[in-house]
Amino acid sequence: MGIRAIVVGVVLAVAGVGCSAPDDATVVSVAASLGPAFEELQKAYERANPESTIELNIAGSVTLAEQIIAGAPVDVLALADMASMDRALGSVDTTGPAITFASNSMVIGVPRGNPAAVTSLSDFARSELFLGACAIPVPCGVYARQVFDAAGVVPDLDTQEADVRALVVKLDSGDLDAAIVYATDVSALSGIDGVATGVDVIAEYPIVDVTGTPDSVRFVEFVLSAEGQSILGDFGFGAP
Amino acid sequence: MRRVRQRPPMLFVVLAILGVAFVAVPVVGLLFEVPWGDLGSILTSEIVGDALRISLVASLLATAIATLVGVPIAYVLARVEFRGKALVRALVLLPLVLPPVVGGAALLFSLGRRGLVGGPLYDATGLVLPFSIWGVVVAVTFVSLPFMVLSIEGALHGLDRRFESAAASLGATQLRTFMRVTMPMIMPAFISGLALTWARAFGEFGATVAFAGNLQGRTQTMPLAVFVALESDRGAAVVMSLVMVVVAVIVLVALRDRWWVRA
Repeated sequence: MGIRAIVVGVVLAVAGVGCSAPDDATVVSVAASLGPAFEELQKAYERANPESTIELNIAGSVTLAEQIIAGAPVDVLALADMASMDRALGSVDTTGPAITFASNSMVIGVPRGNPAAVTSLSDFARSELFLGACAIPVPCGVYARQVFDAAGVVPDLDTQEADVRALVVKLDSGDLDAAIVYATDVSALSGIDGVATGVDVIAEYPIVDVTGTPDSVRFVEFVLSAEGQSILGDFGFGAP
Repeated sequence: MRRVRQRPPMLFVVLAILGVAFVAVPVVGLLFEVPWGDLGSILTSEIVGDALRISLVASLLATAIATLVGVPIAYVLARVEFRGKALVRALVLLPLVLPPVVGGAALLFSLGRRGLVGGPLYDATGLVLPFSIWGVVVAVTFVSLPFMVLSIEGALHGLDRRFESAAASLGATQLRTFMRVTMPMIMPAFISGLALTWARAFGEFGATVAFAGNLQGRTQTMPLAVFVALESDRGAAVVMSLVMVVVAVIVLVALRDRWWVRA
């Protein structure tokens, strides 16, 4: 009796979870670094289109590409690098091409006040400092490699993190003296300062309309519109 | 005396089979993904060797530390009455509930270079835990310690204490009584505590990546190597997962055969 009640309860709970998402929502898969900006875009879009529902699926670009290749139902895909986008487009048919909708640059992130007095990329060769970057397959790691290569610096890294947020936390806590992060990661909120790298490595963010429903078409148009671009600008993103 | 063979309840058999299948299916799925042709080259790669070495060293050290402090914690919780005991027990078990990444971040803010304890430690000795193997050991110990405490405390509660009383009445000190009388009696629980603690430490990911960082040959454990490889080289990630499964099965089966049955 007791066991039967538990089993029935579990089955009902599982069934309930399965049915909770509204069928007509537009699913937007968005890279982690774009998350906060897209939450604002979502709010603004839903205010202008009260009959539409946008659902954000936020994760790392590589993970999102994996998901869509594995058949995840996604209407719009916005990623942090072209390589992940190319991989996704290689195995999924989309209604339109990928369009670059925003850009970002790489900076040397340092703890507030720059206690180790890091002034340039050449400080990344100093073995007494605690230095970090993202791991290579992650977009921010690929960009960091480009930054080091462009400057001709062989970095003495103490960690290669799986995502940029892990770097920001360790900069904020003062455990890392410097790390290569996105310009958008440097803010009062994150508690880290930025030092210019002196080299020009631009991160480009592509977006693609996968399903071409009226709502997904309108949402991509909104991201590219003056209003959408101004919201992205508020979060530190540059024009495409 | 001849043991009477009992027929288990049908419902239990069905539920048990479903439960085992639930665990077995993903493992079998993993086997289907293994790129058998590349197995040799991946297994002998430097990344796998480094990660396996760090994982084994850190998880075994963590198990030793968890034994050294976890057994006394369990003893005090089971045998000593004091105010605020419920709070202390909850505190010790907290890492079970805390998301490991949160635990790792908490470690960073307390034992990091500018942390509450880590700051003065660094100023006095120059010792830095993050980005070192010691940071990995600290992170996996934090997460796996509760398993040792829970196993030992539960066994101590269920123990017939007359043997301890007898030893004490013959003049044995409390420590000697514990080592010579109590420990042998709770050996099965201790072994399962060792297995659980080690297994949790060996598979730890979140606290390690948050506190110790990720650098091949220094702090990159198997779970971290698998995670990074998932984003670049699926085959390598699957092979490393297979290595973890094999090592874990060997250790857990060996533990059981060596001591469990005999005890």
